[in-house]
Amino acid sequence: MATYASLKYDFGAQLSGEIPTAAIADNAVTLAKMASGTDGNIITYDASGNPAVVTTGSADQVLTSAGAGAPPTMSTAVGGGFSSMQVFTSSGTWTKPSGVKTIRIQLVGSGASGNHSGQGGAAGGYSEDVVDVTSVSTVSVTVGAAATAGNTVGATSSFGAYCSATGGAKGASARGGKPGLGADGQVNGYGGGGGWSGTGSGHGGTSYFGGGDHDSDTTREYDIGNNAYGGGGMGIENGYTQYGISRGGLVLVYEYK
Amino acid sequence: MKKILVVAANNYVAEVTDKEFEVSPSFVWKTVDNDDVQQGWTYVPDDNSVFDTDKVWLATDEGKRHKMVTDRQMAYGKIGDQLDALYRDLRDDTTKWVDHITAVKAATPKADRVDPLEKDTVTGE
Repeated sequence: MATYASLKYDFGAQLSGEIPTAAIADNAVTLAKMASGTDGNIITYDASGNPAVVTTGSADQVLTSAGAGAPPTMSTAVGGGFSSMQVFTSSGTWTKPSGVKTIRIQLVGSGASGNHSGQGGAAGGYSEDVVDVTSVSTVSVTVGAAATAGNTVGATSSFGAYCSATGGAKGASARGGKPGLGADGQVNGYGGGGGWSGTGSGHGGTSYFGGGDHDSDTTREYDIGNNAYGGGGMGIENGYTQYGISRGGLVLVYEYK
Repeated sequence: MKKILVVAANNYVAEVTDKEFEVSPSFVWKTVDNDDVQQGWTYVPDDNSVFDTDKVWLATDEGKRHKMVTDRQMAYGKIGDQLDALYRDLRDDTTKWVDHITAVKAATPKADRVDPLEKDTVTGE
């Protein structure tokens, strides 16, 4: 037996060609009943509240709101997330991975070693920078080597011409070594200076990444190099032949798409 | 001839090396005709020379004073060793500690032009 709604539908359709909303059951319109469209387009509503489409964008673009009063659009993502990192403990070349647009660099110069006059070696300087690499493919990377002999200076680390940090200095004239310095990054700093004690041992300088080896008044374990990257080596008091070696520099490159 | 990496702002010699590498703008490479140059020296742009910063400073009154004090500190020895020497002197009725201190002071006289009324910062003498 025909219902009232179906009868209304039948007559209405024949008279005007319209289908009243009430005549369509919930969940009755299938995808197959919708008009065909363009591959990738997305249905939205325009400022008048009428149905509209967001046209298909390019690969890797994202749907971006235009705020109230305008439909969203496909656009290139602004910024982007962390993607990968490259670690340099020796000199080499940084090569940009595909899709990377921005990098953050952290680097330290190497520390100086200590000597037999109680003078600790200083730590290397520190620099940090953020660089737009959309038009860069490779950058030369220099990493200051560790001072593995006594009373030896640290060396410079550099990320091309973007930022650099010098190595720590060895002790001299009854004082610990002077620290290395960073430059040309957005954050630049000195390393820690080397310690000196007229009759004892002077500590190795502390770098951005941490301290030097442990201080001690004995001759044990002076030359094992348990320093943080860029840290200076301990100076040993007069009368001993050992010294604290330093740790090499470090260049970290964080990559963002 | 030596290649040196100089901090442009203050002419500090940051590194001595045989091979240049790319650095940021705050540093400049120079080649100097002094094979003795070391990190920590000072570069002189006017005549492209270098000098030992510490050596020059040690020749000043302040530097001489510094060297005298630190030389004495090292020669006196550790405080613990000195206390031990005092203990032995008291126990044995000897003067080894005083003799040692006297010998250090004689071997390391006060630097020229140091105020004669100024006390030794270590011994107060």
